Amino acid sequence: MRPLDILAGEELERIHQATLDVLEHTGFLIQHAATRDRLDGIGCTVRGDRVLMSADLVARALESAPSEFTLHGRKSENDCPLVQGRSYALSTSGSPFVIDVRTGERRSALVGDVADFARLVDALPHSHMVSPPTPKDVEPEIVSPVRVATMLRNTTKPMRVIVESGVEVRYILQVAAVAHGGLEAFRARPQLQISVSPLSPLTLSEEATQAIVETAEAGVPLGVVPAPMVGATGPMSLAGCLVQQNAEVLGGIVIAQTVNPGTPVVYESRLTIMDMRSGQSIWGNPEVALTNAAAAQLARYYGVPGSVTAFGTSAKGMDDQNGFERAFNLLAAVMAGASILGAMGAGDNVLHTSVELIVLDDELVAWVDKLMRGMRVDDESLAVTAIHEAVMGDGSFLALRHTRDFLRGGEIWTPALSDRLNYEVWDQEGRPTIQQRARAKALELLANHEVEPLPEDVDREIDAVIDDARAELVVV
Amino acid sequence: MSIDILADLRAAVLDGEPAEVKQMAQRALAAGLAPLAIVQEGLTAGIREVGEEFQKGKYFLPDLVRGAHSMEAGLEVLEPLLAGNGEARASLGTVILGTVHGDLHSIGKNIVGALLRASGFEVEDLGVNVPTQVFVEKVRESGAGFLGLSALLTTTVHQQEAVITALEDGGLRDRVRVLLGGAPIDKAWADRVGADGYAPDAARAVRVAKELASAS
Ligand code: B12
Repeated sequence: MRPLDILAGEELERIHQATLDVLEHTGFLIQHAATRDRLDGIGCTVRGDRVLMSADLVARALESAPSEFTLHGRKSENDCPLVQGRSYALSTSGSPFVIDVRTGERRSALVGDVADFARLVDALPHSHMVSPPTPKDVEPEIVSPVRVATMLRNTTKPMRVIVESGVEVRYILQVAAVAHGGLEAFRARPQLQISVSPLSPLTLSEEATQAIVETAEAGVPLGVVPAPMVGATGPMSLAGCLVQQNAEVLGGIVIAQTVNPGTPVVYESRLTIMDMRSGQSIWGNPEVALTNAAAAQLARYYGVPGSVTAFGTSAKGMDDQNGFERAFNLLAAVMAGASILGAMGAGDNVLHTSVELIVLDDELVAWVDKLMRGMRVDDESLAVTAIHEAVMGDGSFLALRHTRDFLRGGEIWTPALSDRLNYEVWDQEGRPTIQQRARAKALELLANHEVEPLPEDVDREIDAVIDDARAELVVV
Repeated sequence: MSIDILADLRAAVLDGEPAEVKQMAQRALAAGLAPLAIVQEGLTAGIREVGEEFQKGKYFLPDLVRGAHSMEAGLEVLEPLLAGNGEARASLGTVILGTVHGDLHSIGKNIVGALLRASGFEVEDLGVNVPTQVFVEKVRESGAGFLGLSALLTTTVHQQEAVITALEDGGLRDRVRVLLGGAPIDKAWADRVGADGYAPDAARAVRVAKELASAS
């Protein structure tokens, strides 16, 4: 299917022009002197901490950013080539809480949960990339390298981590290099995307700028991930907030391409709406679906992979709201051609993650994937002969070879979890719910799915890097 | 006539128009009204109505924030005069507010600050990424009755504990009521680190602060 253009051509152009206007006249507040100097040197206007970026510079940066690249798995069968027309599901990042699968209660995320989510994504067929929650049982200074080490040990799929500082990037890269037999080997087949957040509106802290610079210097895939909130840290108008977010992403891309032309970058949209009564940041509403679709379109326009939160919901429990918000969000994101579908498994405005939701989302992805593959239209599928055969015969298609062939050919999707029983059977079986099946499947996979362990010496070396990080960074 | 000015002033606070409020405050002074009366019957009464409209669900956060800004614009004119007269406006207490060290999340803290102001507290906002020592010094020198600490990250919540410990070490813990908040914070955490109060949102933050204020 062709991706859906939610913005008309002229609307897209106006958003682009307004973005350039903002970058050129308001500029980006960059709290990192070396980066300001670097940008000064290539023709930006620097006013205090503010860097004004010209349209020409933005165009050159977009030119040098690759339009396609691959996030690699440990095994190539798990590679995710970020190319037009392909979408990959990514588990949610950063949540402070998880819903404990055994008790059903919310509790703080732990390192064990990072491992569980990584293993679960590894096991599920329609889950492609892993992002970790933020575990509470590890020293805060080394939480990022520990998360990366834990994911490397528990998945063979590509991963993403959001960082706050350059120091973290250094240790993360050391961990990744050890796992891949050297930084060169890792760079050649990066299994990790590193993301950094600007502070809306249009600010980059010293640490965040350093993180962008260090990631770009290493030539590792970089995500620029602002999270403006409509009406709070971004304009109340959706188009305006998109303009601001667009400027923030493009500004980040400019820095990365200036540091190291050709750095692979991902355009990440985490624009949300502030509920004007509670102040909550809302992720499951139609406005987020709309702006996600527009952001995905902008990313396509710029020729870089786009990533959005495709599974956002504000629901806390496993109820209808949870289901429909995730489904509509996902549908909008996929139809708009987003390359990466973030926030798999997330509930409560990405404040918690649950293994049941990851399993359910795997099913949602399969559903939407089937939709997006469209239908086959050719002589055979038009079935003129089959229709004739059936009409002339007993009126049934069940016995036709055509039927069997198309069934075997995957014409119809078979769900892993959804209920298709008839009422009587469903009733006799105790009226099972999809949540129960999701939970059972999650528990089964967590109990039985094994990820090929890293070689022992690699494992030890990773521990040594973490020890170094602890010694350098943790204040006692 | 003077009654009208105060009614207009209240209405301007309710409308959330800082420039207008400032002008009206000046007009009220020119008309010979006492600064304390202008503050209490104009600004404070106006902002209280803003708070009530919000609690009733008629007003939204932007109304609240604009109301708070309007009141501040009026106070800019009037507060120096109050001080000159040796007077002070009625206040439920002063809250020192900030987001802890290593944490740049500001939105929740700002909303809590706005609603506290709209509910009759004075708020001194220290901003984000505030080092423990700065909180402690502020408590030491200001005599504020409340300290509100916001933390949004699993990796920064322990800074709330660090501030409480530093207050204890500095012999200042008894001087302030410490309130904690932020998305990863819950009651259990607040109890564990020995805070006086916790709130999951701004409206409850005000409720808790008021309870503590009346208990003291
Ligand atoms: C906006 C946002 C950002 C913006 C911040 C902009 C800004 N100016 O504040 C940006 C993009 C910069 C950002 C950066 C990061 N963020 Co952030 N962010 C958010 C987001 C989406 C919304 C937060 C928010 O403003 N909510 C709205 C306000 C009104 O709610 P609130 O803060 O909870 O406040 C209410 C209550 O908690 C309470 N309250 C708050 N403070 C206080 C204080 C007192 C005294 C009291 C009584 C009550 C109280 O009252 C408030 C009003 O009702 C949340 C997700 C979420 N759903 O919350 C993630 C989130 C908080 N961020 C997260 C993370 C991980 C980060 C980063 C580390 C990486 C990243 N980019 O994701 C960096 C860290 C930067 C740093 N050093 O601080 C995680 C935290 C997870 C964790 N376990 O630590 C979250 C949960 C998202 C996620 N799942 O990844 N973030």
